[in-house]
Amino acid sequence: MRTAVLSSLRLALTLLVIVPFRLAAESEKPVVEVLVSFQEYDTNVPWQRDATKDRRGFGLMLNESVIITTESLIRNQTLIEIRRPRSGRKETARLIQADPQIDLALLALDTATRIPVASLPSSTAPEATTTTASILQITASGEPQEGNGRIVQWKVDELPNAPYAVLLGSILTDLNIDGAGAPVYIDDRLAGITLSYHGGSRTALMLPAMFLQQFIDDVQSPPYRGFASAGIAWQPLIDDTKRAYFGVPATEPGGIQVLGVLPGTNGENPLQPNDIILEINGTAIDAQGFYNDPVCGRLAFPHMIKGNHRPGDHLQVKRIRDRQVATDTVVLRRFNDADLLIPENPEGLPEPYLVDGGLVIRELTGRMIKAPGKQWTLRTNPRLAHLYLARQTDVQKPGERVVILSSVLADPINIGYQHLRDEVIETVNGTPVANLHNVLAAVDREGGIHRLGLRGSGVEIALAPGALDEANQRIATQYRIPQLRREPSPPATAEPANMTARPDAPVPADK
Amino acid sequence: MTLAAITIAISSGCTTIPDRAIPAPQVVQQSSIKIHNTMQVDRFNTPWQASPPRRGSGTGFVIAGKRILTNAHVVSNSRFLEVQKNGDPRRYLARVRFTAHDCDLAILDVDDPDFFDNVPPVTFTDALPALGDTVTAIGFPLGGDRVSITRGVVSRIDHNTYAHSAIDQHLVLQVDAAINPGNSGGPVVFNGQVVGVAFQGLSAGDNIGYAIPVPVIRHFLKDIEDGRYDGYPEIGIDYLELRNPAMRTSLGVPDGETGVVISRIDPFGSAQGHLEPGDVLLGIDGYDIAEDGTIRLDGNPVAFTEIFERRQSGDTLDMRIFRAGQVQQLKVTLANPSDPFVFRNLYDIQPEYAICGGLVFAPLNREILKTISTGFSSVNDQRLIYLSNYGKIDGHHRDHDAFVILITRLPHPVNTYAESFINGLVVDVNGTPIRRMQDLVDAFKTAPNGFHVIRFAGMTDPLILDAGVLEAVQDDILAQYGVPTPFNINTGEPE
Repeated sequence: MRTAVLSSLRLALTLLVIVPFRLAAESEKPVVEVLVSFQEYDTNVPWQRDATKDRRGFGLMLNESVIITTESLIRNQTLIEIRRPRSGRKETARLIQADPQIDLALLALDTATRIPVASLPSSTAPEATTTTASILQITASGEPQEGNGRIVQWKVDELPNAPYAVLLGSILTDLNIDGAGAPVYIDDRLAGITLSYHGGSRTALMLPAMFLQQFIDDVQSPPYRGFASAGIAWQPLIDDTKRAYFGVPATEPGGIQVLGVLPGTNGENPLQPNDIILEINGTAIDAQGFYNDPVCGRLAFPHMIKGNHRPGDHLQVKRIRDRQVATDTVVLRRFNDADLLIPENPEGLPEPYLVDGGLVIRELTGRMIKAPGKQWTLRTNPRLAHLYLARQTDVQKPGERVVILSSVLADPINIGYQHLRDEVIETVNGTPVANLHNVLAAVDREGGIHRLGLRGSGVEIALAPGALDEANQRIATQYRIPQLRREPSPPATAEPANMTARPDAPVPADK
Repeated sequence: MTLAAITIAISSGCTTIPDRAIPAPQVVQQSSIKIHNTMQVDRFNTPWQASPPRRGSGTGFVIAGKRILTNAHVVSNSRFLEVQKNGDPRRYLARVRFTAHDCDLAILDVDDPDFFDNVPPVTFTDALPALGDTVTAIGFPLGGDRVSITRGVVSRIDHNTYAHSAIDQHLVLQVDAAINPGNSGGPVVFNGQVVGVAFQGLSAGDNIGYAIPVPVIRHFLKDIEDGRYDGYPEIGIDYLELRNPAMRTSLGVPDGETGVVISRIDPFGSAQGHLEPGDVLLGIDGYDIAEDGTIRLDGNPVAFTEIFERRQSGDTLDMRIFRAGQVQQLKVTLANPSDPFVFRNLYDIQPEYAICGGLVFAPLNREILKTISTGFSSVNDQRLIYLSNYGKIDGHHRDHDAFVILITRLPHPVNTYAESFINGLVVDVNGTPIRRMQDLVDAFKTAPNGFHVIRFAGMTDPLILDAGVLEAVQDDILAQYGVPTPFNINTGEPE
């Protein structure tokens, strides 16, 4: 494997020498610049947004007014502008649909009075590696620029900007790709668009065109359903001792181990932790979680689901439980980040909060906990870091979140509590709370927070009820808080408790 | 200030001090002793081994009763100990009689009675020096054989963390006299009497040294009067200041009463069984506690916890509390019970461990945390940090007498797939809950269905070992990795 990669690397380096960039005389391939102004929400002060920043990437014109590009490019957008090659003129566009689980977004020019039906140009399926490709982008001066590349690997891996596993192609290229969303062609047929580029290794990651086609079709057949998820966390099952313990017959070479199932799917997903999955719809899954894809060859099995099925489809899953082989019917659904005990919020959506009496109350998210940067595990409160890292196996009820007192805005009403931060809230006014909805309901019912119970503390902190309104007005003015609350999205209603898990995320194979 | 910035002042090198010696009373100079320690530090990641021996030196001084007082860190992990008088080439064998790792003090004995000839004991001051008082530090810094004297002023008197244990806080004297490696354990003198024991410095500051003041020294000397060191008693309470009027109202605290609100009782503290969360602690031993948690002591406002600092294990305190709408009087006897969930630096113990199939299990302690160099980014590593900070607060002590973890594996085919379980907290083995190390050893004696099944906290995935193979290869693994014995359990409890 290593020799093959090196060989392809040498080939690409050779190409670098003998094939100069060429500027497309007339761009037959409709690439455009996508210029995005965006504002992210402040992870520490949820009612504020950071200063406006800009991103530049590319998009593919599907017709005279519809563009497809990456979701991460237009994330937190406040203004999207499209610039055609050699034009200089910026045309504003609006977002039709974005999906972080596949990193795609569909845009429409504002000038379009009606949005024409879009379809993908002639495209290719993900094929074998070492295929020569061309990549198209636009230079800073507005000239189309084409470079060469070679697809060196297809792999089911996490998206560069969100924790979702998708089939991605690695392209070794001679083009210094200056933004996401650059279209990739094989023999003049669209192969996909780039999601990221690493200059050190001259490698781009490409989302194959098959997903672009599915996304476009889905958007144009509302309601948008999204992509299907296996709904399980899993790991390879290599260890012969463990295979024997779980009752996998010696004649059976394959099978993977289920670690947990998606929350909210207990009624639909009959799989359980430590089930051993042998086959899905009659296709064998090997001990590392791969199957033999008729087009791409050996691929990790989540692609079989994401690439070939839709939410609502039924899968026949042959599995071993308690040393017995049986087949279950699994109903696929779209993964919903909000189902998690601690949502990731990779898109940086505005997070709900409540400020009452200067107490800043929030639901813990992955975005919040990782805000300190690469060293977050050393800088974050150890209890919160542990809750986050252990979330995959924590039993939770649907809609349950970790509600925290993230900080206290100093004010006379909260004297004595101002040192508190990153504390887990268990009760408000004596009522147990499982999410911010519960907190807001108690506040609305009882006119504010009068007593707050914190995990590990046997005494509730108390606020003077009669002084709350005046204090809230004072705090809103002093700390320049435009709204003292942001409502969360509606809570989940499913009843049974089940396991939390991030879908399709393989864990290290050495377990 | 971070703990890492505090350096303890033991020397293993030799340079000269560019400081002018200021004459100190001859008696204290004569009483100052150079201590030579050959030490060996246990390796907690390979707990059957110790590091190569190394030598260091520090300072001590003779006190009443023909004893030498020094720092605990000067004589910790000692394998061979010698003492040497100023200007005397002869070295005498010495033994550690008492060690107080929680306040970094130790007492040495010297068997040869000639050692104490012409060495008068020092005397201690009765009170703390005042800020700005000029003090003299005497010692053998940087390995020199002749006594060194440096002078400075007392620049602050405050509570601070003692770096030797890393978690204990007591009163410290901050001085600007040069305190260098090798000064540790030496006397700090004011007006011919000892006011402190030099013990640590601050690498981030200029000329900031710290000495253990007389109240802490006297506490230690009184503690060992019965021939045993019990250690500082631990009251074991968390509290909130009672400054918020709404909190006062919700608790119904009468006007005119002030104090602190107890928010948590440590299961291993002296207050367990006496105080309760929600109690308002109004006063101790006749001292009224203010709303910010201070009492007036010697005319100065100090944290009410200073009272516990001045008491010994076994002492009884009178506490005035407000509970259930009434002011009540309680008596609380102070104690320092063994607490397996206190994460101090460890010295002078042989680490506990148990090896099964090349998997090395040990109770979680601070030394093991220090061996983890991954940035605590994995869930298992992070869980250890969480347990060391919140283990008791979140009630995990109820299921454990020690947090038994898989610290490493001695690679062998029987444990090839155990890597991802390293630093995991063991919950049960073969269905037996693991509260302590001995449970683990006992649980491995039977193997239902021919497998050992080890379950870890927060993991649905069990670690499975083939019991027959494990039995057959256990001795081979130990021999291959030079492990003398598969178990060392309960030979040394953390203090």
